Amino acid sequence: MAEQSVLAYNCPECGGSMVFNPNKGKMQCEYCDSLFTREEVEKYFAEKEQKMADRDAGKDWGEEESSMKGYNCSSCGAELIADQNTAVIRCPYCGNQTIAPTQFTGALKPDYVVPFAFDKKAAIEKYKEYYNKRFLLPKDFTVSSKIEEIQGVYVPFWLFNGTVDAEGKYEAYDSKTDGDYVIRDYYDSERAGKMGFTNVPADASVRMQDSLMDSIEPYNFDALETFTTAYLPGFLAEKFDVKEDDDRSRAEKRIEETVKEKLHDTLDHTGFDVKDEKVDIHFNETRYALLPVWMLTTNWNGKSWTFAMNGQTGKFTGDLPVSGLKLGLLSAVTFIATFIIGSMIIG
Amino acid sequence: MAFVLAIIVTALVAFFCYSSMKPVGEASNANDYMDKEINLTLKTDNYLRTEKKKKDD
Repeated sequence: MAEQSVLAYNCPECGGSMVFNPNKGKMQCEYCDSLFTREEVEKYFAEKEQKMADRDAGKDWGEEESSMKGYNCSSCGAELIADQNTAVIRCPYCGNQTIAPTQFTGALKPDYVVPFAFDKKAAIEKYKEYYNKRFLLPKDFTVSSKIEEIQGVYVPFWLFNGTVDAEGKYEAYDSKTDGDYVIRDYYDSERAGKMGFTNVPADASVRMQDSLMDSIEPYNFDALETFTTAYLPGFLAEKFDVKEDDDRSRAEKRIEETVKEKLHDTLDHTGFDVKDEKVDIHFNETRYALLPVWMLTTNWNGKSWTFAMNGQTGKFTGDLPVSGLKLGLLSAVTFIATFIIGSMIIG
Repeated sequence: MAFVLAIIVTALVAFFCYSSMKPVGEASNANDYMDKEINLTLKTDNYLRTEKKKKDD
């Protein structure tokens, strides 16, 4: 290490300056005589820098705090925040209309945001278009849907960055036919490689169904902006309640699956069997971002039906109820028509 | 025969219409967020053997 960087380390015990003691092979504080190995010192300062970075990401909102207010859903417990001019009528997650204002407690301030790309009117039009194409939808469901209550919600996400090393051993083969015979040439194949990943998302909300969010991906992160409250008016934001470390495993699973697929793509053979595979993921940066979702929750027939639309791309998803009557009618008509036509053709 | 055909067609139509109402899926990979190609540092293919089998086996 250069002389300059040795003098830059201060003692973790008393803050005094440290020098390298060649007789002891360790760094020693000139004031309290504490001894540390080089590794201990570097680890201590790396952790300290990380804590400061975490604190910066969660820094208080400063003067913006006075323009924010909090809401709590008495039914599902969702904790929402909004700017002071945005009224929350119903919970976007469970449809409950009993939303109590609470004190805004200075939730972790996001690093980034992907702004909404279209307004509520456009979102309503997309929803109506989706409903109208679904013949099997019960008629009274669309009546009770109250599409106008669709709500724009910024959903909290952790975005993971880093690199991944992967290696694999395979028994690959090439097949060809020779008359009545199949000839296979077998190979002992090995592959190893590295990939980078940027902004692999995992939603940081317990309330938001993971499958729902996965279905409306991908987001285009070229549109990622540094967060300011200027993006909030008219929309809700949810506080994150899944910690970064707890969400990491979801990102790991997706990264692992992709890198294995990429390794398999490099096997230029007819087929292969996996003998061994190993994936090492190195996370180097995590960002806390808010991603836009248009949400509508409808309570129908004793059940909650939640629909989500990617607020950037318009990709839409959501389980819909099926009308038994309409399904029966469709099946009957299809059966009769096929039977008649089949009888005429086949006899 | 027409009856069997009608049953099959009806089942297929009902299945696809029903599936269109349940589109929620799970993102299985991170393709959209990773490098296009893997940067290979090792690539070996060593010939092992050849096997010849009759097609019916």
